[in-house]
Amino acid sequence: MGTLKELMRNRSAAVGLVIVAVAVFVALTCQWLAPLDPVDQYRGYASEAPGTQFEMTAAMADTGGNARSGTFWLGTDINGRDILSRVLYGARVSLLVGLVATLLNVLIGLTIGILAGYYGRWLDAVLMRLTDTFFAFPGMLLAIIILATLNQPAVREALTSVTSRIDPGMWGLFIALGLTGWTGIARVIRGQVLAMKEQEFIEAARAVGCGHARIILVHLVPNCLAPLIVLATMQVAYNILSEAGLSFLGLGIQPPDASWGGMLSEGRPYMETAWWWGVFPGLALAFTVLGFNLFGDGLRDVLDPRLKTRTS
Amino acid sequence: MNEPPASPPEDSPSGRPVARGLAGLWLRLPSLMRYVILRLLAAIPVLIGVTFICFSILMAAPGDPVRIVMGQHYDEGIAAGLREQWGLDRPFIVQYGMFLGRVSTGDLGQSYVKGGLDVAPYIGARFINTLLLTLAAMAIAIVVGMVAGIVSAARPRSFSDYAMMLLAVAGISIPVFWLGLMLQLVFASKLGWLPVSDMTYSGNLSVLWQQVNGNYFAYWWQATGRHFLLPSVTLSVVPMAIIARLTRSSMLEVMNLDYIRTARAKGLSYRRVVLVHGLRNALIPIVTVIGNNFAILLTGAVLTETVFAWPGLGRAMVQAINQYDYPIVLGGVMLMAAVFVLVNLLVDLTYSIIDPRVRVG
Repeated sequence: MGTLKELMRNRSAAVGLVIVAVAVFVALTCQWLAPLDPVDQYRGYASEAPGTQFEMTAAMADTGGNARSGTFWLGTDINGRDILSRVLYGARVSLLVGLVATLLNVLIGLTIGILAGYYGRWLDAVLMRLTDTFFAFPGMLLAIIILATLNQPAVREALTSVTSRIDPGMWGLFIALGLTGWTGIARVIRGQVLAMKEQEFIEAARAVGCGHARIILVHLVPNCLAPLIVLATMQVAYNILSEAGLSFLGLGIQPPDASWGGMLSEGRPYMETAWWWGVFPGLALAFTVLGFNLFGDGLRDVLDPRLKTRTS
Repeated sequence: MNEPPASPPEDSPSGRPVARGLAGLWLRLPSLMRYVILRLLAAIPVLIGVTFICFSILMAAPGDPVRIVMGQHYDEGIAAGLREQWGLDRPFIVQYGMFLGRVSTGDLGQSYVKGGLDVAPYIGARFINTLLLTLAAMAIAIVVGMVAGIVSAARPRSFSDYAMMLLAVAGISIPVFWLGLMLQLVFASKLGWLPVSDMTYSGNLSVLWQQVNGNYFAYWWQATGRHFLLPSVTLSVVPMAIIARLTRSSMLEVMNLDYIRTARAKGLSYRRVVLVHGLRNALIPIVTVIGNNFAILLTGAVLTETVFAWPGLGRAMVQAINQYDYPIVLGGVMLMAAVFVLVNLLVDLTYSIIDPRVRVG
């Protein structure tokens, strides 16, 4: 419990945790928080400045809207969609992609790092050359190539038939980012395992007859958790930024679905006339990423200060 | 091969037999050169791996590049000819083998889309634009980042330290392309001080030369300088923040060591101790990070180039991926990976210059 107390006393961890908690809360509750539907277009209210009052009849909303009045707190885009609602819904996309992709990164990185470090010899050589290769592959480009492949109509249809609840563009982002961001984790975990392998507690475990599987799962993995948690937290930030970048390039979530990167891409040509379209999603994005980075910094200082030189 | 005859075994000062032929030549190379050659050879499997991954993904894609390239003018007869010409009718492994064969002779093939344009000179020219942008960005990042880090470390836990480190975290968290858009909005669209996009002056250069009355600086500034400012500042923010953070932590670590106290005790000024004794020894992790970031910037300037319509390699690659122009994609990916490997090698070599205790080879 000492660790938790220490974590809460760390200023950057505490601030980061608050921001992350807010973002998670918004992502979970955006369907109730958002004042309007994020996709509906409100005719007659295109490119309204922030704070514009609206008064609409049921017929004005595209889909079964009720007569209502209120304020477009963050303005509307050129299609008459409410920016505030879209920003709130964007949190869901960003966090979901960030967390799922990081989970994949951790699974791949942990597996490769542990296998390479524990079994050594040729397996280590092969797995580390594989890691080098993925490390030398320009990460963003690999993600773009994977996404371009997955974005083709045939693949999109196949993915939709698996489950229609998840947007096919989202699947692409999970896979593209999940397959690209694991090299750092694999390297750190391998180093950790190499250092641990020779220690007495592993020797003792072997002496009492533990098999490889038990040594790995019961003795090695738990001892890798501290650096793993730190690296994963920072990886979430990185994946959220990458998701936004890919959606900005038009490869991720497709409009009209709301995502921060997609909104920036849509709003870009109208920066001079409707700056609010590009400013607010960017701010939301920057704050969310800042939260994860601050939290990760604090975690690192408390859990594993030695990582400082490696993750900077 | 005709090599000079190796000296006979009895001449060897250590008394060990001296290897002849290639092995002997190899052993007589300076160890640094041997190290460099081994590292370059080790890069070959990495490059093969990178192209293989790229090739597999492209080939696994269900789309047909011929159909997409020809668009509405699709004609089965011409398409079959193109497929044969590009080797797309062969099995995957044969195609990959043909690709490696061509690459080993320095031929990266011709573009599918741009009327048979040779890929190598095209990506080479684009790469130089990216390199120029990256160098400018890195220069800004190193100067500002290191100064900020040193100032922070000189007075840890002071207001300026906290302020700078908060700025640095913000710098790592800000989405580059959004920052680029904001800078564009403020300095180009609203204030009109700097151009919104493009790499060079769009008008007639000889007219410009007359306008500036032969002032070289004004000419340079109008023709290219002002075009570099916004993109390079945008691109520099992330490495700047990383360098600032690392310089600070690295300096703080070094400043606690005994020899720093000794230097202070000798009566040297604080400034001299920080800048000469501290900084030199704090440089090693900083150089690693600078090298890593340089490589990452070079290969990752895609978003900045998109925002500022910069004619660099990253933007060319995104365009090629969207147009199914496989030769450009493969060539570009290979070039970027090669640069990445080279920069990392340079970083490792730099260690031995900064710190004589580090011996490579």
